[in-house]
Amino acid sequence: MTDSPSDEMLDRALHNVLARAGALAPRRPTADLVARTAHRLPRTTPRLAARRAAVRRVLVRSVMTLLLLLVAVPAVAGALTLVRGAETPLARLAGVAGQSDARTELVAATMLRLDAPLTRTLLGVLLWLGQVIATMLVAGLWPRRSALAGVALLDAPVRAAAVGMLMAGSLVIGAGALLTLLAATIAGLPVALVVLLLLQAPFVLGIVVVARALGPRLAGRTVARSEVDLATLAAAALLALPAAVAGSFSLAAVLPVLYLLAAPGLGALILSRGGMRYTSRYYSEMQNG
Amino acid sequence: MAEQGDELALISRSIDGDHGAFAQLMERYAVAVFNLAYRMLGDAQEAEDASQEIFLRAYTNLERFDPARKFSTWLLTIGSNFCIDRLRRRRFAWLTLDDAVASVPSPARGPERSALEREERDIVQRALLQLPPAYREIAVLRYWNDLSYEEIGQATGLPESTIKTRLHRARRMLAEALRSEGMVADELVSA
Repeated sequence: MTDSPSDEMLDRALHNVLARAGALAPRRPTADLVARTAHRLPRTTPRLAARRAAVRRVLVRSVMTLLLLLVAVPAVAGALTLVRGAETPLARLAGVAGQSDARTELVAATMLRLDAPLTRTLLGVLLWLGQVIATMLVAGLWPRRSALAGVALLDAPVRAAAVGMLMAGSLVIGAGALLTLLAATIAGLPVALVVLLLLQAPFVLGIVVVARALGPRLAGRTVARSEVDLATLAAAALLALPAAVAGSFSLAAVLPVLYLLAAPGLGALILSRGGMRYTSRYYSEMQNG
Repeated sequence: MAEQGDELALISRSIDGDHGAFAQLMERYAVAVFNLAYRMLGDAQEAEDASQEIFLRAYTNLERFDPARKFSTWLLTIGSNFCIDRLRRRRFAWLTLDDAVASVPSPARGPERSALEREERDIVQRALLQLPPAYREIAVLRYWNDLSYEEIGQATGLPESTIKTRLHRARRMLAEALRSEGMVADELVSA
């Protein structure tokens, strides 16, 4: 296959344009590029380095496969259990509890304790405190990224809320289905617990982003700052109230309240690519802040 | 010819674990590798990191180098594969646990930045970054690394017909992008 005359012409013309613009002139790397790379070279021969790299690759792949199997195998076993209509461990536990008077009494007594005003208040306070601490810890670990995601939320709150609700819904439905399968076998129960814990991570991040967006507003500022300050603490404290209040009435209400609060932050996280990249009128101020 | 013999000697010493010899090879190709990475990735800092990784990969795979091939083409093969891989992984870059915020272009451009962006080199770089990675790879190897179709074929593993098709489209896209910036005449696009 040869170039057509118009191809050749375009090739030459484009080459000339690029050359005239100086775009073909090479850019120089930093002077110490070679020295820095040489410093990083494996202290062995290429053959041994290649062998070690291959072993590392196999190890990483094995661990990833193992983790995948750890979730997939109990999930498949759970699906089979459900399809066969066999009794699941949770159903068995509930059945045993139902047949035992002692267990019934124990459950009733526990419910009574949970219903006591003091217990409910204590539970609410603990929930509030836990959420504030978690929010501040995560914001402290990722101050810049959480601030940038907060800026994304301030810029497009409706869009962020819509994206967040969609993502939250998908996560809850997806994880719900997986948890149902995992909980259908005894082996799947501990994995289900881990999945349940991991499911909370995006929502915690979402709450942190909402706190980072709310903080400047509470402090009466119009621009975001990258450092975690008292305004963030005040926002975290305020945001922890709804779940704490809901928790003092009904434990089942805690997660839906948290998820609803986190949804706009989750959306902002997605819009700002995890708080990594975002263009905003607030940006230059945040950089200086 | 003597230079090629010298290069093979450096490669041979590098295979024996001589870091000094490999450093000499790196000195020879640092600019070429860096420029490939810069044109492909569009960011000087990222291109520096990528260049280091490309050389590290080259060192690890040095035993697999075929002396019948040109070392520069082999190195650029590793470089272009690495850059394509990196561009693919950019979609998941936000999953990193670092707190670093990626370079974010401010919509409000200062006069200094605006003046810089008017420079034709920047316009070309922007136009290049608009190309899909597969087309950008071919265009960079052709225009910036001066490789022949055959060498591009060796570097990418693509047949010559595919290279010509991609280059044809890349040229048209580049010309179109440059025309919209007023850098080339309409005739170049319609040619």
